[in-house]
Amino acid sequence: MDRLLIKGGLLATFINEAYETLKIVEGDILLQDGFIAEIGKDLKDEETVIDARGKLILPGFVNAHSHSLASILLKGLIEGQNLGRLGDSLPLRISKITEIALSALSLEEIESLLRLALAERLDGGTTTLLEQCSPEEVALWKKLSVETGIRVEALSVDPDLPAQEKSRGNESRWIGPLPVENWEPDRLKKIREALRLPEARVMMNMPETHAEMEAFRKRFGTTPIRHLSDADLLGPRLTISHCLHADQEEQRLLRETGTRIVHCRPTLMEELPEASLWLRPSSRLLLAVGTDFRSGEMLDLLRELALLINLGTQTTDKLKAPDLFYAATIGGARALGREDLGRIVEGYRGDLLVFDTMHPRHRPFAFPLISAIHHGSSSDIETVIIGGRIVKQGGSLSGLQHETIMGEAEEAVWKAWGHCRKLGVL
Amino acid sequence: MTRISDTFFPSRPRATRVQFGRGGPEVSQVCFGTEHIVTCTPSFGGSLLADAADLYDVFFIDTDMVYGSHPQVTQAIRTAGRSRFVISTKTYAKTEQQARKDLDRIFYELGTDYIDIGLLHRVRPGAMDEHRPPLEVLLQAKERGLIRHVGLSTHSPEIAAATSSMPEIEILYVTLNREGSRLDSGSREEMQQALTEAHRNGKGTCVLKTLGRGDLVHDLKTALEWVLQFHEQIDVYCIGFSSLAELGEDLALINHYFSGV
Repeated sequence: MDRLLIKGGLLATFINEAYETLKIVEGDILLQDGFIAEIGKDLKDEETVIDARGKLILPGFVNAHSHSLASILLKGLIEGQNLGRLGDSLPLRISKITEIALSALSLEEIESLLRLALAERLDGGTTTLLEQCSPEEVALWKKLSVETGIRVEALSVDPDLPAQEKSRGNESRWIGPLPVENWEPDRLKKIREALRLPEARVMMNMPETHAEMEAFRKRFGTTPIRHLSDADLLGPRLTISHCLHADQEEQRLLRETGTRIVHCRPTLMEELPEASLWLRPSSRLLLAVGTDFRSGEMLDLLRELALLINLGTQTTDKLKAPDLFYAATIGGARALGREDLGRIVEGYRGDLLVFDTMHPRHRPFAFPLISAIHHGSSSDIETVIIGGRIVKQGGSLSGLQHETIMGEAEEAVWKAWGHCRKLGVL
Repeated sequence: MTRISDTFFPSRPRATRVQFGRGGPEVSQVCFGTEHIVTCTPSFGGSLLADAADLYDVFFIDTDMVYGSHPQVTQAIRTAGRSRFVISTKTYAKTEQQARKDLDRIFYELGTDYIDIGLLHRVRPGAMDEHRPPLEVLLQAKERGLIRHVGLSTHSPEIAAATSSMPEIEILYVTLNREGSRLDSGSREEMQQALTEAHRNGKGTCVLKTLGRGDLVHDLKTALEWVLQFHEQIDVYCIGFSSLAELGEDLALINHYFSGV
């Protein structure tokens, strides 16, 4: 029976007594066999104790949309670029670079890249990851998940819709993500039939840019959300990513059906829609967040979203730090169909972050979530615990040696880039 | 002694004290709804509540387990002392067992051995009978001196009307705002009628959601004045604040209204 006591921290979590609410309270947390067994004051000491006095304890982050391989291969190539110049070719270019890497590199080399991405994820407090990847990566993710303890649901894009393997420790069964060009009514009907299995869940990536939306309308004669509604697919077992375009009626459809939505930073910032639905708490949508193909971690993403929200023209009805924190914890868990993640509540999985607030950038310390999101970084996350297992402590990752990982990954990236240059993609 | 704060705010409003129903406690006419202070640390929230009492004489605090604000209220008690505040809290329980559990948790989390006002929380239309067992638990707690006054909160005019003549319910919290929003059923006119009846029967009456849980904050003066026109039936105005600046602004409006009454 593995027991771990986290003592004297300031816990910040959403609780759900009758409705969702935030609670910030000092207390001790006892983890047993990977779960939160008890929360209280002055709990009896255990053999393994983490002294969390002066620290903030958060639930582990759920990154609900990630392309980790792309995030490493594209690092440095897209930041600060006018991605609009690449127009329709952006997703093609991203996938081309990834395709080339997958064909040019050995499995060990690909694994080294995933390991680097994983180090970044864990360092930044991600404890659960929904990874959209190639079929070759799925087995690698399974291996890395066992090795490091991170929860990974790896979905590969496959237009023939094979059922995905059950991920470790999770009873849900994913269908998709189905590429937009394959959203013909008869395929959507097949998905609808597959959803008869109670554990099945569907992941769809929405058209994101104006050009993509226009192409969709031309092809299907309607908008993506209405298309999914017509196919009777909207619902709590559907998770859609990149949902940036939704009029009032579509927001109503999403809200009333309980469809889960994952937001990532818009690919084309110049298209940031004024009426972007994720700017409004009043739309009452079930939001999660994901890093997509970008590098940077969850706190970086949340801070970026917090700043982008302030660009909106309305002065009220804006998502604030607690809303974003919700999206990164409970929202993400719900997008994955998990009812045992995302909160610091007895009975939930022991996925926790110990956040160091004893630094000038966090003082005065009166608003923990604002402090974490607006002033925090991965370096403040001194301990990461997943299922009661310590995977990062004192700032260092267990079992992942930075220097080795970085060296191996760097070699693999140089090799992949070399091939891309030869083929005229870079 | 003149405080620096007096120099900056020489006309800081102070809350009027009122009798909360026949036989009810003396409370501040404005009650601090604690739902919006859950994003700050307990120490910051506690100092906010302590200062609300000290600077504005707003010493009536509304909380419950669902709000998430127990830590801040607990800290306020530690800072200013238990007797400085009148505290109301609530239970959503529909069974006797759950009500007992909730009360145990309330006392444990708040670190107090008594609650001034214990309420059944948000009783919905047609659900009064379901809440009888928890009501019994509150009444028993009152007999033991753990709760001083028993009441009920509802967003339903039907329930408000039904309880307005129940002798065991001393205090009634109802939703009332200009838009008629946040009601579970019925209309704001029906709620006004129920409130009038309850007040006539000596219940302590308190209005919630006067600003529609934030929906009407952009039109504060009009929203508050609309509710204040029913002041003859209302003892207390429970408003959610996230800062003392908000409290001061609302209190000034309310006091100004009453100065003209």
